[in-house]
Amino acid sequence: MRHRSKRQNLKDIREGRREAWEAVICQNYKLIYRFLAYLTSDASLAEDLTQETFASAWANISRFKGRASIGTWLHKIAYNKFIDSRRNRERRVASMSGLGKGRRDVPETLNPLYRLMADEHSRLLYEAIRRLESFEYVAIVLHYIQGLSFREMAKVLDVPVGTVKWQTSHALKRLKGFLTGRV
Amino acid sequence: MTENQEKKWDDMTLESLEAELCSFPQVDVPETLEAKLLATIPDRRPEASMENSVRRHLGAWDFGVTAAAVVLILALMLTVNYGLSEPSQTLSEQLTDMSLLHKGWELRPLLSDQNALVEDTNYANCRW
Repeated sequence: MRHRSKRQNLKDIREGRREAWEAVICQNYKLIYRFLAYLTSDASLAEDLTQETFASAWANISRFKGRASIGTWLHKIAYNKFIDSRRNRERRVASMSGLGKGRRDVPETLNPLYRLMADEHSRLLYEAIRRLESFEYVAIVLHYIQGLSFREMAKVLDVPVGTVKWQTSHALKRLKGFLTGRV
Repeated sequence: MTENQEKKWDDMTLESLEAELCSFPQVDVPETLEAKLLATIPDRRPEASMENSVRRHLGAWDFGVTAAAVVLILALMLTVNYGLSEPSQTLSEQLTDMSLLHKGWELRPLLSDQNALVEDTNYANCRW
């Protein structure tokens, strides 16, 4: 029964039914915004990219085959939107690079993660996460903060599951190294 | 970094670090975002979706026709092959009637020659 309703829901989404899409937005927008906030460290950019993500997903809804969950598919679109925006930004400002390290012209108050730094413990943990390499940072955010499984992460990042597992494990060890001051 | 925190990090295992990350405070989401997202949904269905739906139906129809044609061809081939492998009754009778004896041929000498040939090629008793 539940499987049937899920299938019907998927059919409604693929047929472009507005009510079904509204339900998808309500269920996923917070998760997608948070993911983009971690990637961009910029509230307004994360908001823009969230809107672009859902607009793009709606426009290409017929391409969604239902092999992965819609949440995973939206994460993939959001990640690609972020990559595109970073490429565009790097073209404009060559000096700005790095993932999750914030834009230099954006004050820290615009960083949606700023609130997290009120707590000393969280601030130190966040600072350590920001020191990770891009692929490690994304792995940590997707797995531990967004709660995606390795299989889902592999779909989002378009890499084998084994690679994702290795990246996450490597990132965790490096993070521990930063926190204990051994790296 | 205070001494307590330093000690806490030093005592940290990978498992406890994983737990710390899982309970990391959540980022605040702008209150207006949901309304903005819902307001930007176009009233019309995505055209690509409708086009693809038509394309899918056409594709399914093509597939059905092709499958039916393949099945028909296979059935025809099987029927023809079956007909050839099972000779008709008349043909069987004709073959039986066409025995060499009726035509004045003697089979027995021919068979005895064959036996002789087998004996000749039996090297079991040969001495080297």
